[in-house]
Amino acid sequence: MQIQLNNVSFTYEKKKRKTTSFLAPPVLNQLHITIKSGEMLAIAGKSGSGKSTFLQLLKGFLAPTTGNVLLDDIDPNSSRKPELFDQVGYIFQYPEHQLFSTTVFDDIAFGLQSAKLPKEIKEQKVRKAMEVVQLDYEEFKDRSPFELSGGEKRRVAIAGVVVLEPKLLILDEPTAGLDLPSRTALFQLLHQMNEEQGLTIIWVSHQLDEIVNHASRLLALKNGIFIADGSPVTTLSDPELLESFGWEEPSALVVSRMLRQFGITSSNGKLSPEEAADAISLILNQQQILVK
Amino acid sequence: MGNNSFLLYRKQNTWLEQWDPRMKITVSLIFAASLLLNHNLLLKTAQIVLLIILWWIAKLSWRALVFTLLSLTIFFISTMIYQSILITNPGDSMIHLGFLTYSLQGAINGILMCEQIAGIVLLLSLLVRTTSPIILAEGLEMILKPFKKLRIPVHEAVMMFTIALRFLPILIEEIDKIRKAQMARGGGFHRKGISSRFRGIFPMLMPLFVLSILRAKELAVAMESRCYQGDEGRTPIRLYRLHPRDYSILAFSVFNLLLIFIV
Repeated sequence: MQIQLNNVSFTYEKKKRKTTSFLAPPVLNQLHITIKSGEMLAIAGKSGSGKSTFLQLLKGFLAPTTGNVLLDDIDPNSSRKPELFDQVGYIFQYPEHQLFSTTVFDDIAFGLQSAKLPKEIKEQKVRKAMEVVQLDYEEFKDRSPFELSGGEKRRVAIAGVVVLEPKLLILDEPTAGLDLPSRTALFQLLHQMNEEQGLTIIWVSHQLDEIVNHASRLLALKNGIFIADGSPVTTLSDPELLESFGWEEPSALVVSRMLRQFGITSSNGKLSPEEAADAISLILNQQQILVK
Repeated sequence: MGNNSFLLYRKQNTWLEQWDPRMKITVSLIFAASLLLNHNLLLKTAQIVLLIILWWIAKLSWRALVFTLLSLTIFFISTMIYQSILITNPGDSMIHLGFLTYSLQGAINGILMCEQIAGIVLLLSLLVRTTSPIILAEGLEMILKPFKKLRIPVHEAVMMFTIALRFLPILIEEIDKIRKAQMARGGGFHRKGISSRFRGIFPMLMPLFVLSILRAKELAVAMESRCYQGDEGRTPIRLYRLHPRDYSILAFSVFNLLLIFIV
């Protein structure tokens, strides 16, 4: 699914008949952007930069003050087709807080209730969603979501969105509060969904390493404007941009840059951990030979 | 993003806000008493006008005033109908107002009654709109201090009230978030019929409950780790001192009360 934002601005202050002298500054200012199908898009920015507002516009929770949001060239807001936004799956921060049912199965099947599906199809869909998030159906379906571990709870919550088969998945800081193994597993999951089902994935992240390693595109938001848009490796190598956000260069990029500066490698861009290790061991070997 | 309109108080630093909370509560009580005891139409009208002037001094919005008064319409109408049925002096000349018939005394009684309702509501509204809830609670605690000797847990009650108020905005934010989250995974149930929407209530309440309990637990730990141990030995962050201004408004309200008996 392709998403297009045309000249979108958003202000929280409601329009009044009497325009007062005080006008709230726009949270988002004239955004112009196209998100193509199958992208892994990371959004970064400080708190208050308009990230959540931007995401909520994509899901249709908010309507833009000016401009329009197009999902596959249709504007669901102006054409009064809010059901188009159902193609967008939205996973909030700490999604495990939304769990409410007595069993994992019921919780995941919540979104299917209003569709009135036959039991077998419902079961099939839940099974598939649980497979996607790597939870064993037989083992987990009858357990209470409240007795699961944090990572498992989060998977259940994600399955609750995935079960609706969205074409676009939005995640607001999906790795917040997760330990390293759960984080790695989550990104494995996202990559898998992205590759196998062609799902477009948009997520908010504050971890630059995470962005460099997993995103195909980075949008850096500051004061309601995208000040950077492009591949994370090039964007995050730009010292000016890094400084304007007060970010430190991601460690993977630092290593790649230093190896390049010393003339050990010639490749532009990010080295994978293996490549970096190879390059370093190569130079160490050379030194050993010299010493001998 | 925050919308605090449900909390009536907005900081404006007007003259009324600087009044001592203890005095404000006391004065409000005295004023309420004089409103209730007063049966002079002219005097009562003057009191209402005074309240409206105070409203103006406090820089509160006129829209809020109109809204407050309009929300009482049902009481006004029912009072007036009641007074027309209950004709006090049948011998008097009758006043015809549409299909309602009043004796003169009945009409006056009705108006007095309406003014009473409007006055009390305006007074309370003025009090909560010009006092921050926390200051109000502190004032209340100081006024109720004598009851502590009777082993009534005044401090605890006020603390609970303050915490509840403090957490209201957070709770509302949470409701909004949970609502959106359930909508996002609900398969469009919120656009369907009432029964479908009704089924969406439980998925909202359950997480809210769980989160509130978790939050309460966390708060208890946080309070304890900051050495909160109840009322004993607790020092206040704000010290209240009565100014001449506070005494003068007290004097005025007492005079206002006495005036009823003089006239």
